[in-house]
Amino acid sequence: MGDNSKKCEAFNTIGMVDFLLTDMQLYLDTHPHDKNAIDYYQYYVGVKKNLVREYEDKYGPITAQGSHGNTVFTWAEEPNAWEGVCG
Amino acid sequence: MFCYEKRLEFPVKICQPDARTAQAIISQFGGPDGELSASMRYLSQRFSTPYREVANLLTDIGTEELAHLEMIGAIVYQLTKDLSMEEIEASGFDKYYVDHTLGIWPQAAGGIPFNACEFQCKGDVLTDLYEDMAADGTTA
Repeated sequence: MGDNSKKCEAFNTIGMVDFLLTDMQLYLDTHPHDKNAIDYYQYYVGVKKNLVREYEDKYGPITAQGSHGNTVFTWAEEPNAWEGVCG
Repeated sequence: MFCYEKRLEFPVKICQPDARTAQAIISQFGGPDGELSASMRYLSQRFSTPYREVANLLTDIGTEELAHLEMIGAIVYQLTKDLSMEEIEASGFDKYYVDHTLGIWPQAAGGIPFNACEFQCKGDVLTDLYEDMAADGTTA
């Protein structure tokens, strides 16, 4: 593990927050006027945005557009999701 | 359009390959109640859904089903990685291996290929939603 453990912790935290967002999104699809739910959703959208920005600055892209290198397209070199690197 | 995040919806890390288990799990990839069937069902039905919020829900559920498909693919991939020829033969995985080697191909556990006949899309919102409940009530 070593270096990878901090990276994986950050990576899996993004997954946890996004799991919450996915479920909230489904709820809001059929309850689009629920003010409390909207506030809750928006709060965690912000949390995820910050976590992804920090992760991409430090470790590498989650999305292609988060590829920050200007000499190498780091997206192409990141491990694929199914490789089990941060399982 | 769809945007891709390079991560699984829930992490998958399998330390011990197991071709026998893989042969059962692959049904959740390309079998009649698998994730490919689920995602295609929702993503097809949504176009003709007359209520915008329902169509939107079908889009979002169908999208999440694609993430499930990717997790199941990862499970089968990791269960079959680095198998020896002896393990492939002993586990009965040889019948799959002869056509696909270690490729992840959408089929049911019994070897039946994925087929769009496994779901319906009738252009009637109630019919389609009943079909969704019948299908998704049995699996995820």
